[in-house]
Amino acid sequence: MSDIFAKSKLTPSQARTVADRRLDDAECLRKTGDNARANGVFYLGGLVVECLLKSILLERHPEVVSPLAAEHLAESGREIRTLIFRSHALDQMLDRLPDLTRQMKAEDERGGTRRLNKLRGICGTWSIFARYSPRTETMAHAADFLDDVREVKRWLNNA
Amino acid sequence: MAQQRVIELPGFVGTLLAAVEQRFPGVQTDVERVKGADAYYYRIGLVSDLFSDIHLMARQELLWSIAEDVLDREQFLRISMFLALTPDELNGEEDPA
Repeated sequence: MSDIFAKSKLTPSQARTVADRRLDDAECLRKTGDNARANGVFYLGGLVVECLLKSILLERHPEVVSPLAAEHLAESGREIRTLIFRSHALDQMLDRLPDLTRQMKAEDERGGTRRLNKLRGICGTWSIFARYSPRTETMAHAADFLDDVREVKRWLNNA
Repeated sequence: MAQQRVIELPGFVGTLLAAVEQRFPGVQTDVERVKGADAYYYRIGLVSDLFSDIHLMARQELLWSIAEDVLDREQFLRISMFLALTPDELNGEEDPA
């Protein structure tokens, strides 16, 4: 069995590294231009955002990490712990980062960008159910999606 | 995550729904209120045949643009999610977890 299946304690830097690697994976698939690979681009692109949101949650809520502390956490802490370790719900992760969305909106207004709308669009659309979908996407749509992921990733990397 | 069905919607959510209905006549709407870290947030579910020719990501772009047009910044930030589906997509088979 490969080492990649070994469970390890998730850290913010680890989550950010994985985000970089999944973006590279998605970019490799995008470069094929093959529609048959488009679902993979969507799936991996969403994972990039998931990793980054989890890294930010981990940085802002380090108290939720220890399993020993889990039973002593307040309800909000337990919810954040669940989001980090047992969930892929990007929209719910974003709900737990109101200061981040506020900052992103302010910077969008200053810079004339629409990154928050793109991030919310990704979070409201993407789900891990894509991995079971028999339907196929087009690479044109996947490429647009990946462009949005790349743009919000640049911002989230510095959040 | 603590969630509950909304009984009374704040005015700005009604304003947003009216604007969405103007763009997508006959759209079915459902709103959930979610307790966030600092306030209540609103998730908006929408079902319409009119979404059928619009890609999922383009639906998001359209809906967030509508929200930006009719809400002020604070109100805009209180809308946490749009879920925009066609009736067929809504009634699709349950996906495996």
